[in-house]
Amino acid sequence: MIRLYITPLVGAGTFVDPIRSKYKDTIFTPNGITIFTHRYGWRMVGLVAGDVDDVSHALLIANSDVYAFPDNFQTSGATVGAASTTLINILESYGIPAQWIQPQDTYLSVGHSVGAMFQFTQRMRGILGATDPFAPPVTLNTQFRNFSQAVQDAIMQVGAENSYNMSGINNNTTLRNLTKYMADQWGARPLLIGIFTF
Amino acid sequence: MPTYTDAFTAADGTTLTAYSANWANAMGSFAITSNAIRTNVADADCLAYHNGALNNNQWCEVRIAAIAAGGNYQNRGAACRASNTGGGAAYVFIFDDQTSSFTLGSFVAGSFTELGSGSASPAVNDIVRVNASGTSISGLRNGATLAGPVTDSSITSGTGGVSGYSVATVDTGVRIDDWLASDGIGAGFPFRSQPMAHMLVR
Repeated sequence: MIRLYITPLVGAGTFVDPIRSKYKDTIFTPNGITIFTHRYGWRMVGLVAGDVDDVSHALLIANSDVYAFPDNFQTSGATVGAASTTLINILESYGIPAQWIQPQDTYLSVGHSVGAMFQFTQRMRGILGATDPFAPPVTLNTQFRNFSQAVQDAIMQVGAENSYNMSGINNNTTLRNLTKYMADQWGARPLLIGIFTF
Repeated sequence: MPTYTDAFTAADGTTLTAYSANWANAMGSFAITSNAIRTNVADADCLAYHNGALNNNQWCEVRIAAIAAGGNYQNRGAACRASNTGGGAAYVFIFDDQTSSFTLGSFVAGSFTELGSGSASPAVNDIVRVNASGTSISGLRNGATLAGPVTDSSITSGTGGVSGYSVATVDTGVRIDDWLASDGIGAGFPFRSQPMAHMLVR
């Protein structure tokens, strides 16, 4: 079954030791599962998709650092409901803004917004290079005004490259709100992850 | 629709950058053996890029000229949106002679992240191609998508290139040739419908 996970990433970032899902070598590859990954900018966490059998799925979700979107979330219209707290907690544990998630949100809409946040941070990394400007002591509550000019410029560059309406960003905008805002600007553009689109 | 090609015709041991000023190293280096290229440093990721300007929607491909299945860990492949930005940036699609697999990935600031992979055994004369169209990145083998497409926003521009890795400094058994890069992405662009010699503009 086609499934989507949030898993930690591991690796030194070389061909020999690439940045990849923590469970690629222990669960996915040994079970013949090809996976596709979206990385959250500099962070060692990814959205990971694969055609995952039930046995492998059980092995994966036995790990507390793995979150599995429900089966068929992309077509079922299922809402997050009472599980919103679990989803919020695991996303926030990885530094991904999630307090905007509401019980009435569908898993598809949440997955799409989260994936769009990943796209924002990916482009930021592509512009700024190796050093993560969002690493501690920066928090999700750090305001735009507190970032260096280079980081502010990079944020605006992402907006310009994508023809985003950046009027919602001001000096008081927190990283939390900024990241979600950029995801909202991504809009309904599809996110491709190898074996499906969400 | 610029198209650039290279057949890497030079004496054995000639480095890629000495062979042609069109090439620059972003990471590691390459050299020529039997009129094809291989990596030229030990235990280091290698990425070189061509100076031929392309639109941001672009693709790049190479032909596998020699392979040593089950041999030392080595990989080679094509790169697009390649540059020396931050110490090396590109989307790459590489084959691995030891694990007999293909990997789609990105170099950002010299750091390699896997985006996906494909289950197929590489063979001599396979055409290995990486496509970047907007934020859609994919790897193809012999004209068929093998990995992706995957949405990735990290890299927006650059040129065609080559990438690779070898355990040994001079490990000449795995080589790529008939490099080609173009910004003619789209259903209308023929997949190697012409012999290389007809497209040589280097």
